Formats: sequence, C-alpha cells, structure tokens
Amino acid sequence: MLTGYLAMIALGQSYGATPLPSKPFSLMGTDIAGQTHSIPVKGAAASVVFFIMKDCPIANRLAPEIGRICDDYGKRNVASFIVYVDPDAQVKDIDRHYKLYGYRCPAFLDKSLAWAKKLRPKVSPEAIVLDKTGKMVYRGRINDLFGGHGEVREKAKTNDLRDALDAVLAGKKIARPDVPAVGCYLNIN
Amino acid sequence: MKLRIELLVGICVFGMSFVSSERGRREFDDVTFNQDIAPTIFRKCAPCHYPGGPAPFSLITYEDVKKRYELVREVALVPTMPPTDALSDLGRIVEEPPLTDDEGMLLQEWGRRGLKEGDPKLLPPTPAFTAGWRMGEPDMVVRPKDQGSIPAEGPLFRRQVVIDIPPGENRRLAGFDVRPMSPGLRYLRLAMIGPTDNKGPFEPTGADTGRLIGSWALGHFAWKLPAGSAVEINPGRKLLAEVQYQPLGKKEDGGFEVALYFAKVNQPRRVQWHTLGTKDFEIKMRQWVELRSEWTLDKDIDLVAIYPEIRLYARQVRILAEPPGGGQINLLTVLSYDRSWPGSYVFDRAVQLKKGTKLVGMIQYDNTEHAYDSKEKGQFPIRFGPGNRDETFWIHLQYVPSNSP
Repeated sequence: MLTGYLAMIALGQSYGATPLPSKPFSLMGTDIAGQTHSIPVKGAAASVVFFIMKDCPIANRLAPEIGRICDDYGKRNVASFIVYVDPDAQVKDIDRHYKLYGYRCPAFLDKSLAWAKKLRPKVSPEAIVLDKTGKMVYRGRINDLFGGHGEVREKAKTNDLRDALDAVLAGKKIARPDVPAVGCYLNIN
Repeated sequence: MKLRIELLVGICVFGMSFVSSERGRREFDDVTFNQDIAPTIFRKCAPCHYPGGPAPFSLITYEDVKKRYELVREVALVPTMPPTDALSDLGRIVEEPPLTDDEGMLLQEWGRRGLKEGDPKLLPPTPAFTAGWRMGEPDMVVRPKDQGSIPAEGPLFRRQVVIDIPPGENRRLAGFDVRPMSPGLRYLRLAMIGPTDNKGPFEPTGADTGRLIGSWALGHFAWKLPAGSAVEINPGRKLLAEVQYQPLGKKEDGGFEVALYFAKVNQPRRVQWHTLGTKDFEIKMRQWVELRSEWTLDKDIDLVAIYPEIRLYARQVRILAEPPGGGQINLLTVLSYDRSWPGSYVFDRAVQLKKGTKLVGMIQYDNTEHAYDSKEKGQFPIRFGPGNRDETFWIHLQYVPSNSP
C-alpha cells in the first residue's frame, strides 16, 4: 500500500551512515539568563547538549527526563545545556517555555543556528555528548519511549543517553554511540 | 534507432501519466501551497492546529507549514495525523479522516518541487475558529467539582469523575459535547449513575451499556441522537465521566465542561444497545488473530454510534454490514488502532439499517513478538479479563429502532 511504503521512507532513520566527527568542538554562547558558557566546560567530565524546539510535542513529553538528566549528571560533573532551535522565537517565549517545563540547566536560543549548524542534530529532541576535550562521543535519542511517530511505549525500556553518559564517566567505550532519534525535524540548512 | 524510438515513446507515456492526473489539464509540477496544499491543511489540520487551539503549533499559514514540512509530511503519510483514522461507507464518522493517497502524493510533490507558495489569489479563505459550542448554545453546561490535574509524565491513564446535575424535573438528553481545559484530555465516556447503584458503569472487563450514554474524542463528532429520541435522566441521577488522559511533559489542568442538549419531545424513542463480542477467546502466543462476532437485525434501526471496547493488543477494528439483498458495506474501519487517540465513532447522521442486515464485527489483535508496546512480546496467551495481560472483545452498537416509540 502506498502509505505504508511512504511511511517506511518517512521514518527516516538515516543515522549510522555518517560516523561521528572526530575533530573536537569548541562552542560559546549566552544563555537566556544572560550568562556566557563555553564548551568544553573547564573541569567538567563531559557535556550534554539537548537540541529541542519549543512546540515539538515529543521534546515536551521528554522534558521531565531531560530535567532529571541535567540534575542527576550535574551531580556527577557533567554539564548540560538546552538549545532551542527556534530561530523565529523571542527570548521571552523561550523563557516562558523553559519555566513551564521546569527546566533547570542553562538554555540558549540558537537564533543564528550557530550551535545547530556545528553539531548537526536532525530532530528535536536530540542529545549530543561531548567528552572533556569537546569531541563528540554520542549522538541521538534520549531513550526509546518513542519507537516512531505514533508508536509510544508506556515506559522507556532503554535509556541510551544515560548509558552513554555512564560509559563516558566510567572511562569505557560507548556501546551505541549513534542511536536514531524520533522527533520533529529541524530545519537548519 | 528502433531502441531510441521505443525509449522515447516510453518516456512520453510515463510523462503523460503524470500530466493526465485527476487534476485535469494542469501540469503536475505546478504544485503550490495556495492551490494544492492549503485546502487539505485547512480542512484536516487547522481545526486543531490554529493559534490558541489544542495542538502545540499552528498550521494556518504558508510559513507555518513550510517550516514544519518534514514533520507534517511524515505524520500525514504514516498516518498518525489527523488522529481520526476511521472510515465508513455509510456516512461521516469523523470530522476529517487522514489524508487520502492523492492528498499524500500532492504533499510529497510539493516538497519535491521546492515548497512554492503560489498565486495568492488561489489561497482559500483562512479558516475561522469561533469560541462557541459546535452544536450551538447548549441547554446546560456542567463541570465536575473536582477538576483534577494531569501529571507531567507517565503512560495514558483513565480517571472517573462524578458530575452533578442541578436538581429538576426529568430531562431528556439528546446530545452532549465536551470542552477540555487541556489537549491532554483525549477521550471521554459519559454514563449515568444513581444513588442506589452499587457498582460503577465502567469496569475493566466492559461497560454497562444500560447506563452508558455516549463518548467524545478530539476530531470526532459530538454525540447526538436522531430527532425524536432521547436518554431519560431522572431526578437524582448524576453523570459519571471516564476520562482518558495523555501526559504531555508538564502538569496540566484535567478539567473539562460538558454541554448538554435536551430534547423537547413527549415520548422519545428510546436508545438501545447491542453488544458484539465474547468473553470466550484466547489469543495464542506469537499470533496475530482476528476475532469475529455477528448480529442480524430483527428490525429497522437508526445506528447512532459504535463503541469498540478494547485494551492493549487491538490493532484493527472493522464492522461490516451485509444487507438482506446481498453485498457488503463498510460500516466502520479503523485500520491502525492507536490507544493514545481512541476514537469516538459517532455518526454525523444516524445510519439507517434495514431488518435482516447482518452486522459483522471484527477486531485484530497483535500478540506477536513485534507488538511494540507489549512488555513481554508474545510470551503468554491473552484471554478475557481485567488484568494488564488480559483483553476484551466488545463492540457496543448504540441505536434507536426506526420510527418506534
């Protein structure tokens, strides 16, 4: 059937084809509270960047888990950042969303798409982990709560981002460094 | 030379198959938002996706849709949106079903051809959304005392809330509609309860149709009865709503309003029910099974609504009507049942079915290792029951006997 065939194309899980970049990243930005941050973060064991869009229902449903990861791994010397890929939004809209969803780690409005164009997330939400040198060691989903558009589990079974962070903190190799994320497509070209 | 001519003819024939589309003499590569895409978006998406509407973002301008093209294309083609996957040959059973194959192809072509906006003169009027109730000014609006809230996260869940009705005389309910405070309220069933009821009307193993009134879901028609029919609500009775909620990432208001419409008719035609299904089934491990139940009408009826009552494993619902003269008509098909968007299958206009028509209800259940939301995929048989590993196979048919008191 046509729609089934198109669905197979549409569920574009094109990850894995492109290896993670080998060159370390260096990023700087001012968050919505006016504080400046840079990656790599001095003294941090790793950094996580969550790319989201404020009106993406999938990112919003994962907001509590994003908040918990910020808190849990913040205690373990991992710096977390939320980047809003909403170039048309105003800071006040982002600030309102940030508070509504109870976020606590620093958040940026990536109006010029500078961070998005460097780290190249594909969907919202997507997590990128950079090690202490700024090298990308994980890219992809936060967990498997969403199997696809219209496929939602009652509870996540695999927590890919947490597994990746645990591996980085233990000095171990990340078993799955590139895991396709399901979400709202980002237009960063 | 012969090969080149054949190749040229082949290319021309192939090209003509695009030009001679159902859109007449227009060139197929002239797909623009204003002419080709806006009509579908305005009809099928904008009823929820408008500024201030229940959806998280708006889709009423070219820029809105262009910005989210990839997402719109994906959810429209799967389809998960609009969340009204239900078709009937006998009337409208949802306000707007998902995109047809033709509409989906146009959406694809629009993307391939550069997402052009097109001639502004061809843009249909932007839909206007009024604040009022769909069926007009109600006779009464009621709300639960305890509005409740929806937590930030967790699976779908149901909650039952009592709604008091102001004291008064006998009332004859002919319709109701719902206005939720949050889009996290996905589905609602309404029933009546009385002071002497010792058991609720909604049990995990099936609803008591003797007290069930009707249902509501986003994108589906408000519940209403044919002219001359009503459900009696006697003094002292209350309403009980079983509400299904979907957490959305932040705490939300779980409240809602119910608009009631009463019939001013002396001897209303009484609503009746017939339930297809059985308790006697087993869906074996690693199987995808279709269960079936039939009913042959012993009188002419006006079919008001269809209520499948299913739990975790159902994937497809179909009800066919086989008239006495022969043939088969699709009464309801839900190709891909989505628990997070349960449907309220109320016909826009009650469907007349003749005595002798056989109604065949079929539900497909997935107990294979591929069931994505099953905790233990295909590892145990599924039987009737109230537990998390159990299922139900009920299809409640709500009708009014035609032209009867």
